[in-house]
Amino acid sequence: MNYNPLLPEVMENPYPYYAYLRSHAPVYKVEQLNWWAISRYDDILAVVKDYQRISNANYFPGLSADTFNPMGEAPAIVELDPPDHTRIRKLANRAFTPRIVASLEPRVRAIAQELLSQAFAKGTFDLIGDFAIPLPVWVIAELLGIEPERRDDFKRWADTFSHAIGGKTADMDPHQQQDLLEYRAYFEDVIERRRKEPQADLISALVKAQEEEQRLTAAEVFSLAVFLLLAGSETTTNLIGNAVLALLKHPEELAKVRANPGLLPNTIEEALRYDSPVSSEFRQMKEDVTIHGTTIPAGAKMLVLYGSANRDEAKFVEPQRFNVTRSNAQENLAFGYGIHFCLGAPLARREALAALEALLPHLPHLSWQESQLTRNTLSHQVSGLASFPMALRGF
Amino acid sequence: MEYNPFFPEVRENPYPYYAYLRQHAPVYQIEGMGFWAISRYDDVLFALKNPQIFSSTILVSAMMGDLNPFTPEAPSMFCSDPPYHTRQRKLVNRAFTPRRIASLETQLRDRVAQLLERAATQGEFDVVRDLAVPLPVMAIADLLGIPSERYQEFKLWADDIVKAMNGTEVQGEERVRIRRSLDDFRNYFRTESEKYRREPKDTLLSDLVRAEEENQTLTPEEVVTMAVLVLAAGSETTTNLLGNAMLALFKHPEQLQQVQANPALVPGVLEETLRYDAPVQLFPRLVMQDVQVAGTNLPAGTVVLVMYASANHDERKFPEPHRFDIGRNPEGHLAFGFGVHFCLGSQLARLEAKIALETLLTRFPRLARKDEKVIRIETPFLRGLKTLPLMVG
Repeated sequence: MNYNPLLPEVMENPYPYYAYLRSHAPVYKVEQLNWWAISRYDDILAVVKDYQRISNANYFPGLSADTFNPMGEAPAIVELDPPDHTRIRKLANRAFTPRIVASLEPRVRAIAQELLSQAFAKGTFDLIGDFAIPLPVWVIAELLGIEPERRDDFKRWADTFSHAIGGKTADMDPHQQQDLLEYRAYFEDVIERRRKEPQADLISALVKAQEEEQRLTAAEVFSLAVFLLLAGSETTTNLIGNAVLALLKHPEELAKVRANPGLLPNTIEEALRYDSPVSSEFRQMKEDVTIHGTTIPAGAKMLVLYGSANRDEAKFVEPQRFNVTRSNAQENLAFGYGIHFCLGAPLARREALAALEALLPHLPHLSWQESQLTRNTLSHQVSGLASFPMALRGF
Repeated sequence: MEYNPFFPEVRENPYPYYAYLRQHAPVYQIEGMGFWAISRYDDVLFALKNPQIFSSTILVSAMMGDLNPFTPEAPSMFCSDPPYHTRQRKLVNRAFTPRRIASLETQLRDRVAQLLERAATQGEFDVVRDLAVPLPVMAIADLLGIPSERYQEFKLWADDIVKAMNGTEVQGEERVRIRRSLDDFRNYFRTESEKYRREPKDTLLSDLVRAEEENQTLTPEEVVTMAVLVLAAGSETTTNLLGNAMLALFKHPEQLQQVQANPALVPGVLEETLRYDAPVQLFPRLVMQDVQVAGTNLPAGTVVLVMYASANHDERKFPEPHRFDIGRNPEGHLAFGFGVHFCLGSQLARLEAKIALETLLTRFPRLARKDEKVIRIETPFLRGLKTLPLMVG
């Protein structure tokens, strides 16, 4: 068996490959790419806890430090190791408190309803393009205090950014490069405005940390504000699409959830486990590291396969089964683990919950066909749908 | 008692059923169809006042399916909710002004006179087929600025829209033909809008192209959708108003005589007809959030029928509701809806029906029904006659 995460057949359905790796080659070298793939739950847990020896440097292999890096001069928080990471994470945590996230709930629900209503008005719509894509973008826009009139620009920039992260920015077309420049310019302007006139929003909090406490450089504020958009959009889109698809393809599970909406939170955990939006992450060895008798050399690139960990039979009984009442669903590693655990996880969960709560009651009126679904093939590191056409039926 | 808007006996006379529902089951689940009928005035008003709970998005798919004359890029405001609806409505209000409607009066009088010529020479005519059907179509053609050369084609499109709205009855090849017709219709409006963009004129369509509110305009497809909506919403409904008013008057001859003696009573006839026998009986809504109505829990995802015509017969609001009384002044009737979706064309409908009825009654003082047959249109949402043959004496 040849495991290469870039092969279309692997991207289409990696799970059989993951099963093979876990049982036959838990430390597998992808020769063509010089990457080392780690597939078992326990090994992945050990790796992500071991930040002394295993670094987050070069987390985005596609990005280069040139003009078209959307994040500017400072690395994204996810590319850093302690102590730089620790400093920035402490400050980012402050602006992303449970209280702030909870206070967003009414807006999250309202945005979900509004988008759904707009989608329904079209008669035929795309669950991804008309709902799952804009929802997290609008929510992040609210969190960052972006004016509603700039929402469409914001969405376009988020798309471009995803492309930049997935590929090589130098290869992007002039339009996309222009988007990146606009994006940077816009953020620099917002940061400047919040510096002059602070508001009760996230950017103001970050600017304050930078200005008054000198604990963040201006470049780091910019980088963080931009990274939050990337981190919080496509990932959540994928979660929503994957969760809805899983429910629709497992009618008995859907029936359980409709009968008992209290199952929704665990359903979301199970969706995270069953079809993880972020299926893998990169790490880089700072020194030689030996796992199961295989030594991965210093400097080597490792691919941490969360999508595989979440299907590890050693951890999850009948892992290939989508089970909304699974008792250990929340032990999934879809949001990572340890110092880099997803900062936005509570927000993502809240958005997915609002999305499912809004959509679930209408499923009996919505028709769709599996043959019309298309997958997002932009990056081997994400798992999600590109389009999910649906039609609102009448009687 | 079993209520179902599709049953022939209900369509023949729904009012006793409505009375039963209001009394015994104000939120009533229709057997075999999975939707709920809301029949009391207060509850209907509640639904209409809360479009964010009772969404209009199910309207077109519910009623028209693949014969939907609107497009995903430009769904009509009729089947959308705030805030998309709000923007569309604000923009069309800029164009659909009282001044523009009033300016149609002379043309409308000419049209009515034309349509009644035939009656005058033949001594008999069908007030529905020969007046109530063509008049609203002509009015909208004039309103939109359709040139007379295109009028016949426009009329065929209008017929097809009506057929599309009664979509459940259209089958096979006819369905394909109508789909093509709707596409042609949209194309025509696209071309006309383009002309107006370059050279504005004094028509509704031109005004829609130019309508602007806070730097927002309608997209070209939204202009087309709006034009199609105006026709779809303003043809069969107004036909029904006229037909229902005539039938009510014939069934209450003393009041018919009063109006013949005093045409100033016509507006009162029309208002009471709107209450007594509403052209639009009910429309569906999609429940977006769990809500309680009259003590019944309606979970999100439920489809409800908002029964305007039943609300108009609610004894809690209108004393002796089953009595047709042209002197009643039925303020608060819900025949044109209420709130954000309140009928945009209500003044146009009233103007058309007023001119038609006034002219008819004054010109033919010895008007009588040719026979007692009542043949109704077959859609459950609207109520009206297919035909009403009269003798002009």
